[in-house]
Amino acid sequence: MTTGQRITTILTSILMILAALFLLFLWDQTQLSFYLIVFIYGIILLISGIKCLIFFFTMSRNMVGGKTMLYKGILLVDIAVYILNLDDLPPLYLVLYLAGMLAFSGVVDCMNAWESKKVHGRWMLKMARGIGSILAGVFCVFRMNSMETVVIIFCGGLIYNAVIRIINALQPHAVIAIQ
Amino acid sequence: MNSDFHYYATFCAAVLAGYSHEEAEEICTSSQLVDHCTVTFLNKVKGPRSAATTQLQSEMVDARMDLTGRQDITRIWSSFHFLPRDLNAEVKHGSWLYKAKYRLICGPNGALLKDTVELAKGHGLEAIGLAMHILADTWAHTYFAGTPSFVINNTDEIFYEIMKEEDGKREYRKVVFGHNPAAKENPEKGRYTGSLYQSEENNIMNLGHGRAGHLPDYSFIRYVYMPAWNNYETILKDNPSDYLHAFKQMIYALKYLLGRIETFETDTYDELAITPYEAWIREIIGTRRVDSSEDWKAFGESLTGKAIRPFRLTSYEKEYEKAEKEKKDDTYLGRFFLAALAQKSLVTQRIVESGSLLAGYSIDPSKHPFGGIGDYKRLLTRIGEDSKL
Repeated sequence: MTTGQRITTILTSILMILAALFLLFLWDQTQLSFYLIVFIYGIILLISGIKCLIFFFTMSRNMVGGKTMLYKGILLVDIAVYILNLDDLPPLYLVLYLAGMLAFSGVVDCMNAWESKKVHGRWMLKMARGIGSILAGVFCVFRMNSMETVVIIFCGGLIYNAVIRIINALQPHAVIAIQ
Repeated sequence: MNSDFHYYATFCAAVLAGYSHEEAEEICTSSQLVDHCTVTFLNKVKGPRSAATTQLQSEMVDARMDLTGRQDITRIWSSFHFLPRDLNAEVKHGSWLYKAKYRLICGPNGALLKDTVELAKGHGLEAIGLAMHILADTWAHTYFAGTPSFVINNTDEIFYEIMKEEDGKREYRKVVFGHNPAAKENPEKGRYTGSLYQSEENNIMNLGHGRAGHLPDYSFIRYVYMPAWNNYETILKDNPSDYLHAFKQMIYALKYLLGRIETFETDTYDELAITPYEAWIREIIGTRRVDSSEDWKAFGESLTGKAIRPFRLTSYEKEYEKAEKEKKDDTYLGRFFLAALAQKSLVTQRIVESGSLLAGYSIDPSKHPFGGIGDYKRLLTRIGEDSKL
């Protein structure tokens, strides 16, 4: 990571934390927070679609079967525009998406911890993280129609990721060249 | 390649090059260790995490796919399993990123191979074994890159095994890939396990030869397929021929490392050493099975008249764990870790020099005395101590 990349990573991470805190402080206006999150997901999808199109023009058009990326990009942009134009979206869909994501990453963490335990490596922290993610997923399932659930889980994930990114950016990454 | 080649065939090559039975065992243990030295293993023995030479499946699934995570993955796989053949290859199409990824495609006899073998000279049997693993893999893993890349490493439906070839006529059979990692390979029915199709460029499923399953790791197989990067042209991968070349090149490289040859040149093979055994070796390589360890073992034992011990790390782990902090680098594992760090440093530096940051970046310690990953400073300290001797 170059110095510029470090600074960018830290600044975006701080912005992520501020955005999460802002959404949490809109506690008494949960509906507003929820629709802001839907808007953020729509924007993320739009950026993914545009990235896909850029990927096609710069990389995948040179590969065998790369045209699928062009179709994928168009489709993603289309879905993003549709989501951004929705007047009403039941929280159920977003909660289910979050539950699935959390459960999957939790299972992966637990599997990783288990592999590590088998060779007598460090495993407890990873296992705890995995169980935490699965429990958060279960929490989502029990509160399927709640907008608060979406806000809490989304903001928690945002803060956690931002902290990890800051820690990562502060660590040395350069390989020392041996002459 | 699997343990049959990295352990037993490497043992045979070392003996044919002139090493003793015991030395050959140390060399092949180090060669095989490259496939076991994961971060999980290093955590267990409390070794330097930067010395990881491979990753467990679970580590890969869990790996961060941000910039530094991808650089970490590329450093490991490009340095030890997919050594780039030509970092300055001329690529006429695509963006700079496409070109940078294209240049990481692995292949034998590249300039980096010469650097790798020369780096191992004079640094113990552990460094030699490590270099032999890398050399052998340049043959097996040809045409794939040691970085997650959809545009380079993806394969498609055109994937056929050559079952018979007579008078220029070939008989093909379609290769079917399943995606269950726990499923057994079935060469008799042509059913193998490969990674899932994922169209994200940096998805871990697109690392190395994942999409082609373990086919590059089987010595008997010959197949035709269409790689993503080859402009809609098919490629014939002739593993029996490649594995034989790898074996002959290993003997030549090992003779150089033993001091029996003055210089190491690429595209040079020791034909003479294998002449009396060529039919036997060809039979082992060409036999249709996913693990030829027993055959290589029998061949190796016939060369020295002694039993080859199975690959085991317990005694080395104990030696490393019991050693005092200052003495750890003098143990078998300690020397292996230093050799791994040196190799990673070399490959990263060469990739950076080619204008790409896909494997991270390296810094000159004389200009940045306080920068860089701490683990590499051990290597610097060690080089300093050695130069004082």
